[in-house]
Amino acid sequence: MKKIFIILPLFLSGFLFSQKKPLKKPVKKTTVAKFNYHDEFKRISDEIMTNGTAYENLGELTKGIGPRFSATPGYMKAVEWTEKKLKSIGIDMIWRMEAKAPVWIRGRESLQIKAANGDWKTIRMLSFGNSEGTGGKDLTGEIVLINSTSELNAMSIKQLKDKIVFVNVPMDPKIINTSDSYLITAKSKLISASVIAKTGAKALIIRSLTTATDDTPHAKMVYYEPDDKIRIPALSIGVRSADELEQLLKNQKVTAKLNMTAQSKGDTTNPNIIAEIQGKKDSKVIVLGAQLDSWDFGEGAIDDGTGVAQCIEVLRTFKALGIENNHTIRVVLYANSENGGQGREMYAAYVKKKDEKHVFALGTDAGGYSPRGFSLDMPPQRRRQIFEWKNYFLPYGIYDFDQTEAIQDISPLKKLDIPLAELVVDTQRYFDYHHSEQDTFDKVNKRELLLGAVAMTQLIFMIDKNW
Amino acid sequence: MLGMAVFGQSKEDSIQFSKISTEILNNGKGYNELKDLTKNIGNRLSGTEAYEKSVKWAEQKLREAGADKVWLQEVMIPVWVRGKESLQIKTADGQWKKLKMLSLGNSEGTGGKDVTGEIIMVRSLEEYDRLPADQVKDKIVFFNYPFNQSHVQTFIAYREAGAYRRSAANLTAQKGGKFAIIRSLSSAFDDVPHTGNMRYDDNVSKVPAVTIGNTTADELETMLKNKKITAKLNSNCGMKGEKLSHSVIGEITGKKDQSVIVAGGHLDSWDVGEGAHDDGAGIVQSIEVLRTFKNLGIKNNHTIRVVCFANEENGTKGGKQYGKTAKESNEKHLFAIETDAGGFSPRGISLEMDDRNRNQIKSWVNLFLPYGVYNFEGKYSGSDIAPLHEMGVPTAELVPDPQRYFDIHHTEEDTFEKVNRRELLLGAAVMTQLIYMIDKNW
Repeated sequence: MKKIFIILPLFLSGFLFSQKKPLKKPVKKTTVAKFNYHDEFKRISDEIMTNGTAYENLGELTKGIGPRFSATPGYMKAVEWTEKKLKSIGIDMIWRMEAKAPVWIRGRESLQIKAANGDWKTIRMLSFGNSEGTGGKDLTGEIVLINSTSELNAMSIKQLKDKIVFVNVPMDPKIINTSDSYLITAKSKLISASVIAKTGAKALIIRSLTTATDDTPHAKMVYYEPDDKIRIPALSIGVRSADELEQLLKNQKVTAKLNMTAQSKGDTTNPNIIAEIQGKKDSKVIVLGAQLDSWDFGEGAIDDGTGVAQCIEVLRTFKALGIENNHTIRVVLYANSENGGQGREMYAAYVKKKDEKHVFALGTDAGGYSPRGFSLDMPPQRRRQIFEWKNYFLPYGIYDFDQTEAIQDISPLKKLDIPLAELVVDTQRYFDYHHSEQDTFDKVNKRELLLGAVAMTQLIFMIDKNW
Repeated sequence: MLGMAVFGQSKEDSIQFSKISTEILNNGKGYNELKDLTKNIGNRLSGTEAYEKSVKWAEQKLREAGADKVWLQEVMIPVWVRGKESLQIKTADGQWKKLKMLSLGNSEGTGGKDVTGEIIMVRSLEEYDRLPADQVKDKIVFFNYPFNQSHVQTFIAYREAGAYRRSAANLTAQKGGKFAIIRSLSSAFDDVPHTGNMRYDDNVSKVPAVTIGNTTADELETMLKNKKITAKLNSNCGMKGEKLSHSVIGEITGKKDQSVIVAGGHLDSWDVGEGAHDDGAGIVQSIEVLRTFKNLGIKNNHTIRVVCFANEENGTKGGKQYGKTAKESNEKHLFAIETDAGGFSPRGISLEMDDRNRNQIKSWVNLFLPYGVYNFEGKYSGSDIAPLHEMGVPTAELVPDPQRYFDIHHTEEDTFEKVNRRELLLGAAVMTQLIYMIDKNW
């Protein structure tokens, strides 16, 4: 999951759009008597739970291809694999949409620390995505611990100049929905390289944003304002190392030595993959999507191989059950979600330019866990329509329609007034593995994964019949 | 009633719910205790030394959690010993090939001798009913009924397939078969066999019953399409009489009266794996309830009692003894909740009680929703508290997400690693919240 925090550009484009007269179309009230929705829901569920291939597909994508970071051969292998899969389930409209992809190469990286008169000790680490490196040279400095925004604000420039800032803010365990606690921490200016670089610090070390209690580091995308001149190396360490470092710093000065060859090498292009079953009645589009890229380690299983496999499953099920779809059902698998977001911006720009009517967009990028609901980012009258379908969904464990934000790759479509929804899954396990080498196929349960695809197919079926 | 329902939605309760959840998610010990139980004691079938170790362990943990009183309740339990076991089939080239298998719990073995015969396969009980006895005589019956993956609620699929585990041996014996092989009650796509309890009917000969994993069952089915297959079983399992053992009980005495609210799970497990989800999770969650009442200094009106039941898996003697004792001592029980469906994210509470009580609990749904708990429609509660229910006590069971449980249930795969800390603790939080409400309102 790549959460989007860059409020300003979104706000700006929304502002520009609002200068035009928004198209307000009356909501069509369709009463369809020919479907028994309880039966249709069961038919979809039975097909997927007994014949679904999403799990086996995920196995191929994660074990056969593995990580598929933007601008790497792994990504292009994933593109070819996906096209082949889509063909094999009988989809003939498949095309690529090239998007800009930044080339960032992690290279070698190491972090060592030394307490007082001790020896250098190596600590597990991961550079932030798109971070500056040290040019392969040692960057050494004293570590300054910061636990809160008020501590940062109380520091004078002199206290931070040429220091290595260690921000040690844990995800708040008491928040039930871990996506919420993740967002709170991730939005903190404390872990922004842009903010820390302006203090004169030489590098930024953060405690990983994770619910796990082990020492696995979890990556994060670096963020700078467009006009930021100063850019510093930024990296994360696992929570165990973070706890140990905090302890050490209580009694003595600790020096860090950082060596990273990470560097950005301009841009290339990577394609989004688009596949669709054309509408029998019209060519309005219902779009569902997931991200095809992943980080450059682990296997990108829960983030977001599960989403890719689920989207393919939805199309397979429409085909297998011979459902006559009124509108075009389209899957978009986005490029460059993790370290740039160019794929989603490209798709939104395309829809705008072509003025292609989109009825609805659905995203799945929160791990392939047991589904619990849909987050609905749309006008109240649209929400109310979906609320009316609650009882059809309840036997499938889908009860939560109360969240109102879409934050995944479909979010740029919001400025085009397209109703958005995202699959809401159980959140307890996701941030144990998210953006880490632990994000592997064995963390995914077949029934949970399939049940998510069931809920998605059911919702798309309802939208297709009623909107 | 109306007054209570309104009262149930109060701000004060919502704050208390949050305090309970925060205490458990921040400071809960359940996960570390589960690690200790599963890794340092491991599996703990009734009658084993490991079970007796876990009795001492639970006693100590309840004391550490702050129970006012901890005691052991004597229970006579059946002793079943697995011993050595092997199942082989004769392949096309005449070689014997070993299959991965487990004898079902409480099954008799072959007394260490080879029992050989031809396999006949049936896919359903109906198909078996139609078979004339002379076709079954001296054969080995392979009941190949698959776990129905189309049920969203896996417990329904488990219950359906459960008929085969319970009755395979009896049915085989009735028609003169030598032993039964059943396909495991498993939602997994692997070859791990799942054991579980079976019972012999009176007046039938006690033929052995064994189980094989899904992959082996599929392979065997394919082989049987083309030719006759001979199987050979050699096993030493069997019942070895009875033994005195114990359930472990700890409580915080009620401040207002001595009527009892029970939270419990079962302390025993099968003799494979580590008994992590089944039911180490339930044990540590129940202890967590007690600890949380203590740590938050909640003044409980009634006695909050944790029962770690003995012998759920192959006899439910602990649950039966507890019910009997409660009845004999005429001890008033207000409510009992069991947690024995794995330490997964909670989704609801199943309520086995009259409509008046049920509706009152349902009126609290908005308090539970922020914790992911929405489903109060179930009407079943666990087997260890069934005797209490029969005495008229309102009973309930924690309903966690059911998708993963039957992948690992009753297998060597039921290990600590399969349990997620937050899921486990959230289940304990929900139990504590419910007990807080019951204690306050009943």
